[in-house]
Amino acid sequence: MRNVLAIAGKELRTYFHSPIAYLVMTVYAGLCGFFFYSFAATFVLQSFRMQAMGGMGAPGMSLNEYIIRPLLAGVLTVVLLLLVPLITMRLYAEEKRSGTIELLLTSPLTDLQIIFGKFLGALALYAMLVAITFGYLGILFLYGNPNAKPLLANALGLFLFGAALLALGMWFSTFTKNQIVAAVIAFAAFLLLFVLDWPAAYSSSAVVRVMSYMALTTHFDNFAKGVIDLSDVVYYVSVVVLGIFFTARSVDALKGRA
Amino acid sequence: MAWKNRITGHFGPRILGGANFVLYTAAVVAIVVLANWFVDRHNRRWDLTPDQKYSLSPQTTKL
Repeated sequence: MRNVLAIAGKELRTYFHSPIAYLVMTVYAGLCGFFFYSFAATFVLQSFRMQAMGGMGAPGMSLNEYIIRPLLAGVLTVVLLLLVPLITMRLYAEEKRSGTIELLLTSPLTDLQIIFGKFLGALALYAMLVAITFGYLGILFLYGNPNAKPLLANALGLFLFGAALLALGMWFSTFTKNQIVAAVIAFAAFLLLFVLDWPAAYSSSAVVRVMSYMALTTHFDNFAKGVIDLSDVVYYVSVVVLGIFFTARSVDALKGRA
Repeated sequence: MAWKNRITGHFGPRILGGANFVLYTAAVVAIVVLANWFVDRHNRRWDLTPDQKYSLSPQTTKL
């Protein structure tokens, strides 16, 4: 465990020694801020209109439903789709390019320790993005009264979603020694996993149902609503497990060739 | 172990490694798929919204 943490710490420090961490965090904070502002502005306008019409007996608009849910499920997942490849692209590609991969493969640490370490390092940087998101959501508590309990589901969902992307991205990073190539493969794969449920709109065959189940987006909306669904949790954990497993296989194959 | 020698004699040890690799990978993927299938059949959900907005009412579930 101490070895894993040592690798994770080293990875996290590397992110902050390169411009990547600052770039990813700044871009995310900027985009998140814009979207948060525009959803909040729309919400305020809508609720003024509702008031002007005397409410018409309708229940009050919930901040969770009109700001947090569309913000998370509608746009932030797409922003992460673009940014997570930037976090994962260097994990193995950079080691391969600089030749340090040989040191890693022959070090006394086991492959799994290294893989978990790298994954946790990337996850720590990702956790900072989640923290930025919740910084914005905290503003809602200053000026309104959203429900706090659904935020637990929101946080869990955002975390699992990112972990799944990071694990897959780490695997793609073992394919090549070029970071750009790793990022492009990751982005293409994430995008495909994103739209895999589109055929469900016009078909309900078994194949389409399986495709829809495999889509990253299908499993996020429950979390955004404030509902923890066991099958969604299991889905994201499965993607993480498979991502780490395939990374291990891939690293194994590298060893055979070295 | 005779069959093993025969195979490795023909193709070298690589092919056994390859078959092992494929089997191992297929087994792990199968376990993950089964776990997902099982949980999807026996699903549970926790609605954290204060008014249980996304849960079926007890009246509906009684039907």
